[in-house]
Amino acid sequence: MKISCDKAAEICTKSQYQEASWWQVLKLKIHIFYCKNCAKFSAQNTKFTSLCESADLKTLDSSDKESMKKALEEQL
Amino acid sequence: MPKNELHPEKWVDSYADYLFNYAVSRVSDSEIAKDLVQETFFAGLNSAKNYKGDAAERTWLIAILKRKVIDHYRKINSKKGKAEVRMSYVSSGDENEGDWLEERVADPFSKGGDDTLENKELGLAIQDCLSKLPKKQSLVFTMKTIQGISTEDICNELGINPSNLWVMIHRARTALMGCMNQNWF
Repeated sequence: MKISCDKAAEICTKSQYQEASWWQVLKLKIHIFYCKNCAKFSAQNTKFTSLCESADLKTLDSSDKESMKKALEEQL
Repeated sequence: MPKNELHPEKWVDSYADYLFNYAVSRVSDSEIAKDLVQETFFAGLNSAKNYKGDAAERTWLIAILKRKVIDHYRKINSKKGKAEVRMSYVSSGDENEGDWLEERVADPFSKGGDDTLENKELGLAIQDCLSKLPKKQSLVFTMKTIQGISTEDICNELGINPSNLWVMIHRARTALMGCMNQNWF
């Protein structure tokens, strides 16, 4: 049941994308219970996820970027 | 102090997303925002000879983009009748019933009036930190977090394995949190 801090961090990051199994999450929760460092990291990580969500970030498609590049190159 | 130089061949990779987020937050339409970014790059090329190197490349491009946003609003406003005041009263069929557009848009559950403004700044802050990451890390983070592409698809596209991907995501997130720490946590 015991996991290392590295492993805990890995599970924590995966769980931010809902890609950790419930068994892993359980192990993480137990780890956090006695490891204050990881508890802090986990809280920050979760906060960061909600920041990313509320920021509603957007990116240009790679196809849009390619056509921008081409248009720019023609002007160079 | 070393003078800044322009590298137009790197503009799209380095600044397109940052400028795009800035533009979207100002015009709220991604098609228009995309055009504004493209116009900004062209305008940057055309006036490259006026660039003195005092400001960072991105700051200079943002300044151009700001002008483009203002021009955009001028253009759409000149199409309207000049003396006309736009009252956006939305009739819901019944003659005496209706809503002011502002009332419809306003979110009564919003915690404060500054929320949207804060989110715009937050988006740019994240983009800013993202641009400081190693290229591959920021690419993987962007694909996973912002574009929401599945782990499997990212691995296939970039030719990496899932544990590589999670290591990169983890490093990217840790670096981003460190970068944002002073202001946002």
